[in-house]
Amino acid sequence: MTDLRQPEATVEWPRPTPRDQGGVGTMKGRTIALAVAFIAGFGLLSLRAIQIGLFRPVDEAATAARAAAAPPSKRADLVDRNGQLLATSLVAHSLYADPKRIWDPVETAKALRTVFPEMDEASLIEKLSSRSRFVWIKRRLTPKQKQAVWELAQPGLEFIEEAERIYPLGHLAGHVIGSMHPDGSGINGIERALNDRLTTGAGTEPVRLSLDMRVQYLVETELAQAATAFRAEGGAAIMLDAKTGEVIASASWPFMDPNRPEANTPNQQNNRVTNSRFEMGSTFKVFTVAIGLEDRVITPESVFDARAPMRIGRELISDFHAMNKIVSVSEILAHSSNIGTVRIARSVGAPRVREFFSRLGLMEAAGGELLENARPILPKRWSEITAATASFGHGIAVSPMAVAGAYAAVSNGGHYIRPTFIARDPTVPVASRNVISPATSTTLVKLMRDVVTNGTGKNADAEGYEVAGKTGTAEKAGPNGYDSNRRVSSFAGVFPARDPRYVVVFLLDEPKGYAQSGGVATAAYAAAPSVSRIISRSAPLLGIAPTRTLAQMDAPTGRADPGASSPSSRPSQKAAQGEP
Amino acid sequence: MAMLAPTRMSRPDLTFVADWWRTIDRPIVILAGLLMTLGLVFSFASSGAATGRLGFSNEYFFVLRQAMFVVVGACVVVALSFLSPTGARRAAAIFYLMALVLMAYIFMFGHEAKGAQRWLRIGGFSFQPSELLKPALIVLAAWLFSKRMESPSFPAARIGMAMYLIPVAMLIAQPDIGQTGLLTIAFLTVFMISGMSWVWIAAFGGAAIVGGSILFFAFEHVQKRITGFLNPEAGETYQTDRALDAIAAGDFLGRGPGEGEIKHFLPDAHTDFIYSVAAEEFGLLASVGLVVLFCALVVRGLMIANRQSDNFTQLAATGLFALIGYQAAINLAVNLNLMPAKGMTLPFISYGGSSILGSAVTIGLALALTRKRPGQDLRNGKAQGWVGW
Repeated sequence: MTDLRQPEATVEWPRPTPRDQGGVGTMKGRTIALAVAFIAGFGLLSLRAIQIGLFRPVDEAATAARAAAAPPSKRADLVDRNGQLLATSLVAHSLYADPKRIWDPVETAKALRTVFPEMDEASLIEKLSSRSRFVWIKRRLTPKQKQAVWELAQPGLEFIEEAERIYPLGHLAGHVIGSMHPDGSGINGIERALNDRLTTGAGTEPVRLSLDMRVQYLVETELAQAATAFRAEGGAAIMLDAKTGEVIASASWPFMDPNRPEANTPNQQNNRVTNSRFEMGSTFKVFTVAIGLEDRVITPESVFDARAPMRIGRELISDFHAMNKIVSVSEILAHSSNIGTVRIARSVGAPRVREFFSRLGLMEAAGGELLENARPILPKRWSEITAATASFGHGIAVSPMAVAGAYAAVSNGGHYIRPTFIARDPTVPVASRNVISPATSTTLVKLMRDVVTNGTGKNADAEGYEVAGKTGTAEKAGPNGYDSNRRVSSFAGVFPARDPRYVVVFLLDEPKGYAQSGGVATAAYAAAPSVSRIISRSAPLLGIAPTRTLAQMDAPTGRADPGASSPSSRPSQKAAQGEP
Repeated sequence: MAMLAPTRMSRPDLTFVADWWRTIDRPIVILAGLLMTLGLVFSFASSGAATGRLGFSNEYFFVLRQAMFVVVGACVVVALSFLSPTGARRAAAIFYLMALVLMAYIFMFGHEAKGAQRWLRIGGFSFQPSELLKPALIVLAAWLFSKRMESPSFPAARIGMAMYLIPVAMLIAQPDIGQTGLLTIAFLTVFMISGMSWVWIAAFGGAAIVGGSILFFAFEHVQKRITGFLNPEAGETYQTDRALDAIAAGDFLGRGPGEGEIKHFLPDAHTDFIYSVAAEEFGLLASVGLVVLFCALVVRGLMIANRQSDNFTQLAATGLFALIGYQAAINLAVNLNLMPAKGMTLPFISYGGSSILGSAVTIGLALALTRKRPGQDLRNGKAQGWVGW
């Protein structure tokens, strides 16, 4: 208030401009100081550059070798869920030469060939007489080789320590474990996906994978046997813990040996479990039935007209093996009726099919931690016709792992769990999303059990372990539409049906019939028998008790080799003809 | 300089371009052009090494792209240098807002590279908006502080702090600690040069030290780099060891163009460690030569900045040249193992569209602000400035 009474207009106050006053001078002065500081700083940098450039010692060869070698690292080991060692790091010695210090390249080359007879003398001489100061002779020698080279007493040959990664189990789970580039980074598999964690983590703490190598061994043996017998282009087999999402076994055929990454062809390196996409065919029918049951548009007793092929738009949908009658939901699955499945899909509508498939994880890459993880090929538009074909597994291509994840979700009480290759901490609750109600899940497993007891999946049953599942035989798309000679035969199922614990998916890419299979290669013969053997051999290891009646216990049936002795796995020519 | 007006009259056929060439600071143009050309020369050395490491099939990939960036960068320098000081200020305001929007976008839907979200993908290119933000913020800060010098009641400090803190918060979130540090010291420089009291400077410096300590403990990778730097035995020094090997191998005149060997084992050879690659192939000629060139550019820049009569242009030009100087010094210090690795490029030289564009915008704005104008170097009728060239 007092300020207002000041006669402000009458007095011309000297305007205090402290900043301008000091300002100009200060600015000039401070800018000069800054320039001086920059000159001093850059001067120091120059001195440092001269110091390093002229006075830092360089043994050219050793420097280059040090740079080229994978530094011995504390990369963490990989172990399976039971602690079995899968990958470990050692320190190896690699041999290099400094050509400038070689006296006589010919003599040294000849000497080296006494230790490494497989080396080519001409190229060795060329290397040893090169102008470079550093050439690799051989990476990662055995101690014996190292000693032998040492005793050659040739000048210019030097050793450097390098990290070496060893996979004691060879090709077992090779695709999951992955392999290493000589420079010390992972090329594929877990080695690549968890590269940072393995190198920068605690270092000594091994990473525990979810795999059980005992089961992995069984699964790989069965897969190799079936793939060889059926002369398949490739194959995939998975066992997944339906309650935790942990991958117990994951095999892709042909196998790859992580110890020799350079020797694996791209075809061998491909992990078909996560990185290949297949139109799965009838195994998808289970999902369509699940929607129908969940939305209460059908019950297991509902009936559908499958007497004649069905027309949607311009497409004609018919059954592989037409029953030409009114069929129940149970028969749709057991006899794999396309017409019946499409009728269910139409009654729930295309948007619902799409939404449900998405909830089942079928619309996204499902390869767990692996980076070899292909996205599914999906219909561009979900029209009535694309939803209809997707309802029986055509026009949509997913990885076998995605199918396993979806089967786990519909059979474990309705919880979708993202598959993982890392062992879970049992005290941490598993993250999941609900896809169907527990009641629907129970009904669905019963229907799948019917497929195995009365339908196309008979060969998949394993005595005492109540296998439930669905066969799928899909023709592959070729340049001129679907090709009836190139198929993908698969079986997806769960066991034991009374309380599903494990999902098994088994798939052969382009199997070809042979004499013992009755000349056919459909899922019932190319996939189901292997699933039966995998389950009957692995269930005891996994602690699943068989259910047997007292009568069966009294009369042991000699199940030592259940696969070979199972009568159902040797199909007659007649049975082969009736396989959808 | 006093002859300016008669000269103008004696040459009636002055074109737009000739006028530009006459009024622009030619030493700065020449130094910047030289540095960008050297960057292109060094990219021949680094491209093969980097493409080999990354598994690209075309070993000239980075050369071709760098050539394109250099052409675009040169155009940006020239285009911006035509602006008037007011135009430069407006351009800075636009760049600042653009960079903020893009950084906010990255913050929400960013593309992650090497554990940090700094990049925006446009077609086949990645763009780092913080490169655009740095010069823009410096010019705006200079304008604010110069306003304050004219009318002390202007709340320059508060607005300036807000303009500084918003992008810095986003940089820390990315996290990009190197750029945060650079932006902070450049901003602080403008603050200091403008004549802010030592109390403010002390407060800011204290805050920077406290903030730096917090960042050290909050960000694992920063911590790893610093501890790795302080005790090399702990590991994590592979990159700087290779850089030192490369510089040492260079000796006086280097191994010769294309003869570098250690460059093949040097991660980020084409970007953050291009200096070491150059030193391996061209020896002290490159390693000392580059330092001298940068020093000349910065000192010349500060000199012409000091000649300005207008507070805004002087402050802004000082800040922009200091920005380049700091960035170059930090990158060189990392290469020479005097500082922990920062993820900072060498202005004009390092490969990368964002880096080149950032350098081009900085130098373009600085040229615009320091162009010769009638009365530009006169204050109260007296010539200003302390040295000629």
